[in-house]
Amino acid sequence: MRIAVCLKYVPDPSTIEVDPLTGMIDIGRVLYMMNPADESALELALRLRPPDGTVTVFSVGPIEADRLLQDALAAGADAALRVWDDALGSLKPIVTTTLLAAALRVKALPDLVLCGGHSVDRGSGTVPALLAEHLDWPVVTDVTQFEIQSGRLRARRRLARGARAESEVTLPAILGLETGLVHLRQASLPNLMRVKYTPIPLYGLEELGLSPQDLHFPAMTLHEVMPPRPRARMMFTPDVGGSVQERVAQIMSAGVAGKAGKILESGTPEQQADAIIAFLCQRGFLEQPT
Amino acid sequence: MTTHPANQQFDVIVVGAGPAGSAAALLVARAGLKVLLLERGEYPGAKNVSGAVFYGSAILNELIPNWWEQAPVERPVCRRDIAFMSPTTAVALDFRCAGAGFATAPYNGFTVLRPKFDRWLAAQAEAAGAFVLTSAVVDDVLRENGRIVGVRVRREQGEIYGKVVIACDGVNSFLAKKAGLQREFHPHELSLGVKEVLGLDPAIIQDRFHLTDNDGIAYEYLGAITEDVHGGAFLYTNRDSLSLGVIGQVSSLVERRKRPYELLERFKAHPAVAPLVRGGKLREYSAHLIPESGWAMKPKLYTDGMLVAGDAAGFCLAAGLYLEGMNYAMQSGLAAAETAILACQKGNFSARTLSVYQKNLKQRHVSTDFRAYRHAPSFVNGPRLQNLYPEMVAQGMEQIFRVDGAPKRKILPLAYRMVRQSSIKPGQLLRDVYQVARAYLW
Amino acid sequence: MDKCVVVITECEQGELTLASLECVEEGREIADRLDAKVQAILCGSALEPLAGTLAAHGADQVTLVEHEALAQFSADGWLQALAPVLLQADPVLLLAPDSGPIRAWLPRLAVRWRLPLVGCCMRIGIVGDGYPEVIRHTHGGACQERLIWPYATLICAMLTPGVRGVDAPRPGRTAKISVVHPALDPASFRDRTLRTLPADPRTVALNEAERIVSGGFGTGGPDGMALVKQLADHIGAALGGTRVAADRGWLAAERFIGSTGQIVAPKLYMAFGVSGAGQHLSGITGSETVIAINNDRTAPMLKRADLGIVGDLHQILPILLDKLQALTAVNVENHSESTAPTDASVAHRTLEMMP
Ligand SMILES: Cc1cc2nc3c(=O)[nH]c(=O)nc-3n(C[C@H](O)[C@H](O)[C@H](O)COP(=O)(O)OP(=O)(O)OC[C@H]3O[C@@H](n4cnc5c(N)ncnc54)[C@H](O)[C@@H]3O)c2cc1C
Ligand SMILES: Cc1cc2nc3c(=O)[nH]c(=O)nc-3n(C[C@H](O)[C@H](O)[C@H](O)COP(=O)(O)OP(=O)(O)OC[C@H]3O[C@@H](n4cnc5c(N)ncnc54)[C@H](O)[C@@H]3O)c2cc1C
Ligand SMILES: Nc1ncnc2c1ncn2[C@@H]1O[C@H](COP(=O)(O)O)[C@@H](O)[C@H]1O
Repeated sequence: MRIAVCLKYVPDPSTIEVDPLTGMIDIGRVLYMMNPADESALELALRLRPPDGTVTVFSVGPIEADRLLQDALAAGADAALRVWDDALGSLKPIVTTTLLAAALRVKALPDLVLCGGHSVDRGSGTVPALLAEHLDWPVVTDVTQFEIQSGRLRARRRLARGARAESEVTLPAILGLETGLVHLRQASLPNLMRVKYTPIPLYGLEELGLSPQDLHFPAMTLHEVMPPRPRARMMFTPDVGGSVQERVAQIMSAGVAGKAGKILESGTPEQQADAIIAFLCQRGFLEQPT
Repeated sequence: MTTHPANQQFDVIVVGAGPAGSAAALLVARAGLKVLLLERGEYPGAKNVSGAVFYGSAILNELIPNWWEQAPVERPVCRRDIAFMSPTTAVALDFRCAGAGFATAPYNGFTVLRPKFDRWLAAQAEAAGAFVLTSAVVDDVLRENGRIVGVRVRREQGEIYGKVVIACDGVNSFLAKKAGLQREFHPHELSLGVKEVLGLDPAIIQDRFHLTDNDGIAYEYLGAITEDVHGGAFLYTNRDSLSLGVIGQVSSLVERRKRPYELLERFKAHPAVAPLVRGGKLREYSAHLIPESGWAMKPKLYTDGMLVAGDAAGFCLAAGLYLEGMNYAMQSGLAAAETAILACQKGNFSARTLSVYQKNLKQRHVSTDFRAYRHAPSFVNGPRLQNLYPEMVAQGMEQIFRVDGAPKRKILPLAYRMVRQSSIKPGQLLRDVYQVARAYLW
Repeated sequence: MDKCVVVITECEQGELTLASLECVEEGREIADRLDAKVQAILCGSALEPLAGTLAAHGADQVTLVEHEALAQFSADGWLQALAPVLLQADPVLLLAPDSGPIRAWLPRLAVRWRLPLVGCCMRIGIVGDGYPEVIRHTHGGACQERLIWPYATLICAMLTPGVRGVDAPRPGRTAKISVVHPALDPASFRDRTLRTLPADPRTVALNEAERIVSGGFGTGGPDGMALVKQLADHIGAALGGTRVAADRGWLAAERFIGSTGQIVAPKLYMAFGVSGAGQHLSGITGSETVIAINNDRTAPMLKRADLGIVGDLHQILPILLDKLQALTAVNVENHSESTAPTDASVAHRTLEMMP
């Protein structure tokens, strides 16, 4: 079983300061880290690795990303590979995945690729599927748990309202894992020291057999960065027909207009409790006693 | 660089990448010895309270000539203000110096942001050949036959060996205690500093503080600002931010049931301070202990196989006019490094050999300064200097300047009346004058 | 043929997702600027009942892509079924919710067709001569950026759920409904959804909870709140409350509901001793069924309730708990023959690999 994990080098959001006027990030004060979702992806890969298996970590990023790959090696990854080329400008997901797909092919293709579901910088959670398209592999997103049995992978996906779906996918496959599933293990001191000056193999476009034209994809142009302003959500607009008092009352209740529900003003607590139970049964929240 | 340093013996292990540790590691590495610098933070300076005046420019200049040209410094400190406060007034002494080593090389002091500065300094040590390991919390010393032979890092297989260990792990040093060199401190020997960094436009800073170009100013405050809690406050200008904070003695904070951040809020709301910090945007908030009792807190500085430097050794001068720790940290770190180098040359790491440390500290003026100011801390932390006198000065000035139709009084009768009104006895006043003189004049 | 803005919509467990309706409304706004039609596409099986809702939120045309193999989500299946439909629709703009399933297949089409693709969108607009502009959030919401595509209108944009909100449906609106039955090869689907598992109320995030029981200042303290919690546990609900209750430490700070706390949309919301201040109510607008218990008959919370009880919660709650206990005892007896483990518990055992 050979597993590949994609690691991204990202600015720590808690160190980001945005100029309130221009929306520009003060780069001088930013600290970088391993994308949190990738950290759990790496840990899961290490837990999953059978005795004869390997975990290889990949990152597309500048020299600083070496630190992150070294951290991964210290934690127990078997090999690391970094992709970068000075010809690369800002990384668009489609470019990243073209490079990652090529890098995965450098070594024999793995059986499973784990990605984080989302990167916390400018990411959009599209890397797993884009990579899947390049490799023509299946992909499962929003994964919270998974296991492998006889060549098939079973994964749980997050649905709305805390529900989960259980999916099955054939290998080789790509998974996009949610953030915070598990913590990355701590490296031992000797490992930490060993990797500190371990050189990380670097692949540029040439080594990957790509030319700049291969990276030419249509993508929207970044026009402007701005400080965050949440969008105004659709709000209840009071019915213009009513009286002033009514409209004020409606606004005050945040548009939650009165519900003409049933109000039970009298009765003993016992009767009231019965009324609640009857109501819950009637609306299907409780099973009717038979 | 060495390829497989794990399980190998280092000549020197330095614990803590603050100014003391990084300076020590730098010097040891330059001597061609194998040195390991261990830091618990994710990077050096990550855990250090940011925003400070670094008065060790000349010291660092010896090591790295014209260091300020490459280091992340904020502003050279060309003005210093000391303000005596009452709840509504303030009297300030303003010292300005345009040249003579304040605004020109080698400079007297710089404001720095610690996370950046500490990181840079550690990088210098690394460039000189030190092995810098971050995310490494040291949680014990290793002994063989009573001698300290290394440390244990809180990780799997965390034992690592060195001929000399230099503990630079800051105030309340865990290592010094583990080695039996330091006792537990009393709350009255420690202060708690709370600090904020407020972002502000450089142009506003220059206007507001009347600064030319990139010059900086350091304010120190005494008196009512800390209410009845013993301590003081400070405000420094960085390039595009202000560092400000309040320092309060831990014991009096506890006694008076005061929360440090309440004091900080009060300080920021004081009429003399509020206009200076107006519009500042909070960038960081942090709290940290400071050893305050100077010479009295000094631990035993060495034992078989180990030296203690910086705040860990209590080398922090926090006494009224002075708030200096980084420079002494660096000086003592260098003195420890020199000692360790000597021990390595001799191949002897006993307490006897390491006792040269004391001589080295003297040569670097660390022990001399602390001996000289040994009376300052207890006095400065006394209630009268803390609260009464600054307030009297401030109130006195108010009465001198106030024009309200009442007959003007000359200063001496005014002062006499104020002393009479206060609870101070004349004998006490005389003793205090003597103490001020002893603490600061001779 | 009319220009059309295509909106991809989704349903989960038989219901249209809120994010889908937001997208339809966003698409409606854009279409009006471009003088285009809105075509909503929904993929699955037995979809007919949902078409009306799509129309009510602004779709002019609803295309239902139905196949029995699409009863459960499969990225491969969706790709096979939708690629031809989208190609035929020939949209001027493609909109979809930024959801897990969409992120599993839509990016693949974007690569194949060389369309610019953007995710995490907060707003999709049209500028100048009709070129698309997107505002998206980055760095965990610390920043925003504006992207443009000055060559054509056709981009593929995924709207972050919840940023727009949903307006009231207009029941009068109708749409042209067409049903497509794609020819599929289910054996070639490499990924399949086997089943869905219900949420665990004890661990589910409040904003995802299907049932919430809330306590306010009227619970009188930690003891009262403990009773409310017991009820929540009993009916499989998550515990919530008001800011006042959280401020007093009766409730974990991340569990208070309202404009400055959690925004929730459960199917059942029960409020004990909650007055129903505007700030609280604006956090529960999405709740379906509301029950309120309050001893003040003028409390606004009662007006918001489907069932309002004017009475003392300290008297009602213990009785209610007793009765519920008795009720489950009866039901357990009735079901005692069928002791087979539930679907969920089997799944828990086989799949529990996280700590
Ligand atoms: C609010 C405040 C304001 C101050 N202002 C000034 C000022 O303006 N000018 C000035 O000169 N001084 C100032 N000081 C004092 C100054 O900060 C200290 O004197 C100085 O930092 C001491 O340096 P150091 O290297 O000894 O220790 P520190 O700077 O405290 O460094 C100790 C290092 O050791 C690391 N460490 C600790 N324990 C362990 C462990 N177990 N394992 C591994 N690593 C460990 C820490 O993470 C840290 O990086 C101020 C202090 C405070 C609190
Ligand atoms: C800027 C701002 C933002 C705010 N944001 C939020 C927010 O996000 N969320 C939020 O919840 N609040 C918020 N608040 C607070 C809000 O205004 C209300 O104060 C709060 O919601 C009231 O909480 P409550 O209903 O628990 O308490 P109360 O208003 O005190 O109501 C208690 C209710 O319990 C009833 N009661 C008392 N005893 C009993 C009994 N024995 N049996 C039955 N009923 C009983 C009383 O009749 C009363 O109606 C905000 C306030 C401000 C100013
Ligand atoms: N530059 C990169 N190098 C390696 N992996 C990446 C890179 N960018 C994204 N990824 C992977 O793709 C996941 C999703 O990222 P994104 O699509 O950018 O939100 C991340 O969590 C990573 O696992």
